[in-house]
Amino acid sequence: MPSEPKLRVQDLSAWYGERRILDRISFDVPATRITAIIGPSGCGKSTFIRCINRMHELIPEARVQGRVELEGQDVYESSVAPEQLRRRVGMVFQKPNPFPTMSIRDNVLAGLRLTGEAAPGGDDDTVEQALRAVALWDEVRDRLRRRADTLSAGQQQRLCIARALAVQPEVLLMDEPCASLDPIATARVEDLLGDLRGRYTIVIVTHNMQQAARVSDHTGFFLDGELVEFEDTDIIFTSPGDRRTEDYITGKFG
Amino acid sequence: MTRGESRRTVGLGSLPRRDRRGRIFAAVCLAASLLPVVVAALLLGAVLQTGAGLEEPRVLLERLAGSGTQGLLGSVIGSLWLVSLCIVIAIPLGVGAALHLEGPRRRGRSLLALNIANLAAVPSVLYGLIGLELFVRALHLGHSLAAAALTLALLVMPIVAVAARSALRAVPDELREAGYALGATPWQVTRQVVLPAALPGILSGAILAIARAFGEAAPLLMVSGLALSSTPAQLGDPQHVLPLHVFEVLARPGDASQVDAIVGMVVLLGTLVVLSAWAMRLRHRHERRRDGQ
Repeated sequence: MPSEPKLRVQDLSAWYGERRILDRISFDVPATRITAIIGPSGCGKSTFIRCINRMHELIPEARVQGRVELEGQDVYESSVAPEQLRRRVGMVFQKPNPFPTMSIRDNVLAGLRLTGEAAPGGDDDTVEQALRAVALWDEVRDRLRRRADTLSAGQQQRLCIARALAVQPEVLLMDEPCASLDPIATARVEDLLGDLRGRYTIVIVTHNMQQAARVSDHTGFFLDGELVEFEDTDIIFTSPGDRRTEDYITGKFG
Repeated sequence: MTRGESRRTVGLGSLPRRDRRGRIFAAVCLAASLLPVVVAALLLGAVLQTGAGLEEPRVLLERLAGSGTQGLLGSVIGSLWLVSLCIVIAIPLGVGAALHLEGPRRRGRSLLALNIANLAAVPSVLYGLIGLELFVRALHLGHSLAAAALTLALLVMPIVAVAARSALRAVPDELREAGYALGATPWQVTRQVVLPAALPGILSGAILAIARAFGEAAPLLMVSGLALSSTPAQLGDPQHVLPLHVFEVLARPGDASQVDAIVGMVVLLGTLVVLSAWAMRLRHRHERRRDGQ
């Protein structure tokens, strides 16, 4: 593993009301690699990544304990503004959620507009760069002013990724980004992940083990709110250290 | 029916009983939906019949234009003034209340919400009394346009608030989350994501509020002190608005003024129909857009 981890999670627990979702999770997320989180439904994998950018606490009754360090700084320190944190740690959701009242172009710029910042290289450059990064530029360059909801679901999801990239985050969290896409659109997003590797630290939640095996460098297996195993993806899928991991990836449950 | 039988066979034949009930229910529903349409048509027909020759829009307009600022035309202008003023006050208040109730941290506000919803059902005469006591007397605004506009604003504010609230609630949480995930503050998310998405719903509520304010007579009678003067009213006089003008003219003896009243009614009804249709169209478009995704 490379020297310094981008994210260091220590004894992270999370609750909804009285119900404990995560139980003392600890592991390091290496920089500029793709880390997959796998596990059956309800194992807490979505809650886990929502704790990294402090989206979890937006839900009433939600509670967190433990540390999540971004380059050595605990994001739960009182001096950290969650809005600033989320600028550095972007997120892509399960269901494509472009802003329906905005044009394609405005959606890409939404992150900058919302927070009242100017695009570093000008609006046009930012739009083109972000859309090129998600291989959407050639498909939409002639209709940037059209509404975002005129795009297909797969295009909308890539637009959402472009929107997240436009604010130049360091970390990109993806919560089952292909769950609502067809196989072709899924393949395109997976290709895109390959392009983004090396530039961003990506944490992707997926219930699709093949996808984790295809795209990720490291994989964490969650079960009932616990981290069962965290290893290089090759190792997890060829010689897992824990019996439960083996049972899950061979399809005995889940 | 089949109670007591140990076993029931389900045939593939017709279901005469359930069929008949279904048809009766459908007929009742149809009748219920036709009733208001028929009543409205009869009303408009009766109005037009009484004022012979008024079916033609040209005649209506001439009559309106010829009436001068002291008569019917003046009352239409008065109504426009009053309603504009009222809406400028009521919409920010109503949308603000809705934003508070549907804001990012919604907890312990159900009592407040219930109260606002109840306000929408309070009879308008009561608002007239409040307006009389609060604005006319306590705040010394007198029988003025300002007092009337404030009273009407009080009356329509809950309508705006209830409509805005349901429009805000219909904005999917995924959009809010998308905003937060980009590093926006709750205020930025509300202003730039939630409000634009809820705008058509808020607008249709606002239009309904305008229609209500436009046609309301009872509270204005209170605020203007119940004194229907025989002298021609001036602009800025709270009683010189369309519904009160019709009311006043009808109370006056003589046939000549009746035509005036009928023209007033046609303008009033026509405006209300147009406003309602507009609100419905907005809401319909909004719903279709939401379902289309």
